[in-house]
Amino acid sequence: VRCASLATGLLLLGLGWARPAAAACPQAQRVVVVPFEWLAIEPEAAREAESLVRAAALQRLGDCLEPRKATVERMRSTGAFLSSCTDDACRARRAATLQAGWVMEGIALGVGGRRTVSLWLWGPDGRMVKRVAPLPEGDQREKVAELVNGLWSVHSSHRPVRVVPLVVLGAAAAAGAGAVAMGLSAKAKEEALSRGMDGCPATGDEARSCLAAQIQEGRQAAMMSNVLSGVAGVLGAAGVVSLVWEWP
Amino acid sequence: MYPWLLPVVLAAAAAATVASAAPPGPSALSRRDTFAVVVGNNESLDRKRPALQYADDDAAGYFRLLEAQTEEAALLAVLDKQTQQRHPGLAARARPPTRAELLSVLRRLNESMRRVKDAGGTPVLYLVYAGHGQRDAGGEGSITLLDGVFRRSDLFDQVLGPSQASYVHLIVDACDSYFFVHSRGALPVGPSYAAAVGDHLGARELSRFPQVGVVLSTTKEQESHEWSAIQSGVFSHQVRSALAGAADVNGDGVVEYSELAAFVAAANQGVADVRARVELFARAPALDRAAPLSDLRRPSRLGFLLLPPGLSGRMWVEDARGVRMAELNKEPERAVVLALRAEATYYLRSAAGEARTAVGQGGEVVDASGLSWSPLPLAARGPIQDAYGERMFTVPFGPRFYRGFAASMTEPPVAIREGLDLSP
Repeated sequence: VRCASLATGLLLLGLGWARPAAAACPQAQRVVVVPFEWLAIEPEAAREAESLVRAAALQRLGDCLEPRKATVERMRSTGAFLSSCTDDACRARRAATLQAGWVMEGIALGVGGRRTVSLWLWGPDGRMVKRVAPLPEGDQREKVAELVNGLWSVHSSHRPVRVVPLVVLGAAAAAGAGAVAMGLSAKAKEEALSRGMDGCPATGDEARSCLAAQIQEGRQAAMMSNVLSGVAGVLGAAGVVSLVWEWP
Repeated sequence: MYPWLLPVVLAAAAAATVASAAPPGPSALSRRDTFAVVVGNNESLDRKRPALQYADDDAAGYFRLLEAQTEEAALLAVLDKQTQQRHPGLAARARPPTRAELLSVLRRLNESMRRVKDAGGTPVLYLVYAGHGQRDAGGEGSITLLDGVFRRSDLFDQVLGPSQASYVHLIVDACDSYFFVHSRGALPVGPSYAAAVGDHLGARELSRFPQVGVVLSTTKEQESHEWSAIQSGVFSHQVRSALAGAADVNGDGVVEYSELAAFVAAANQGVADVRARVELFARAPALDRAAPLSDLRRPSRLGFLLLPPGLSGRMWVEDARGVRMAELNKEPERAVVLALRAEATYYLRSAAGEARTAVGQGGEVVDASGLSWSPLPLAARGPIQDAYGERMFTVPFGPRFYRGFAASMTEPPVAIREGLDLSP
């Protein structure tokens, strides 16, 4: 029985490894490259351009690039056209329909005696960036890789500021700074009192009450530092979690 | 186009056939060298017929489009003051539209075309005319040049007879497709005049001239369609839009005669008054009915504006001087590319707004997706409000329209592809 369980476990493990890589990728990160449209160019040339883009995307994105076969099967059920979207909301719906976090579409053109490719990339929020670039004769891999990487970079640089995580992290930083300041203040007070009376009279009731006040002040600073440290820790953790949560 | 202009065209086609050796077939498409002669003349030799306003603008528009795609192009026109302002620098390159200039230009182009043929190439000649046409008492048709009429026999003997072109594309926009807004004279309503013209041509002459294709305005005599909003004849505006790529229904980069005919039909589909419709007769060269009337794939000095899927409806492109370059009503699913003069600023406009863009060097493609649209300025919005402007280009042109139109065509339809390539 034990051997059978072990064999079953190994089999399941093997099947897990054998699954398509894209299936292991969360939907929010899955990238779909839609088969390219073509204009004034042979469909074979458009397919070649698409393959180059896929290769460049695979190099950058790894397992999260959905294989063409899976995309084609999905598109057969949704209609084999490029998106007719003109706004972010429509593109976001298109991405959801394709069960993708990111969608890349393109048109290969052969006008004016040149080969050109126009690429569009958008994420789950539907915001789109585009690039048009000529495809030089000869080895086009480097040029296409540059194009694809540029597209992703542009999209990253246009990413909107995530307000909530930044506010939370800012508050955490402020609390942390306050904690450090209070801690240093308490430490300074402790050191001053350990060296002498820290400005209090040397004897008498007045000296006693003055010393007690100084000690109380130091304790309050230390306690405030501890509280602020805790707050900074909690806010920092919350900020990191929310930042990761909102990451595309 | 007048009935008596048809014999002019047919005779010219006959001359071209006699003069030219049989051109190579479609396999030689990649080695086509093109030449163009564009003639525009506002003037009328008949005092009863007023001069045209925009024949020179039409000639300038054709010339701008064709010169960037051709090895050699000539413009024969006297541009009026407004046209010179709209097309700066062009007047210095234009020659007067006289008989002597026309024949001189053709002699020069014939020499160039002969060299192309000797080198194994396929010279293609565009011969474009915009202006008045008339018929003499004997029934011989003629077009109007600055120094007199140019008769059918002249065209036969002196223009197309000696032509070295392997393919000839004749585009004739005579005066009857002008002045729509100021339509004058008797406007008979009846069966399609284009159909009658087609029957006439098909039955009698055109099949004998296999390398000549014709694009003719076929609206009736006395009907003149000129539209101030576009500073152009309506027929020529639609033809230029088609040649710029708006008619390329299957996205192969080539505008064939059948696509042009369907495009113009769609552009006028919404015009309810038959007297106001621009009618066109288009017949491809019998030698190669798929001969490209416009080929955007060829190396050229044009830039290109890509209208991707998503953009839809009626839209037009104007340059910074307000010259309307191309217009279409686009189905949302298909992508369209429009050829435009390079190194210029353009405004893509629709009823909803406008987007500014610029085309840099020749061969550059500008993607219109994601352009910033702003409300249309009042000055640009005004002209489109007139009655004719609201009716032209109201029907979307694309595969759906083309399939329906193809059933009535004599030309073989182009192959329409279905969506994207979903092969594994």
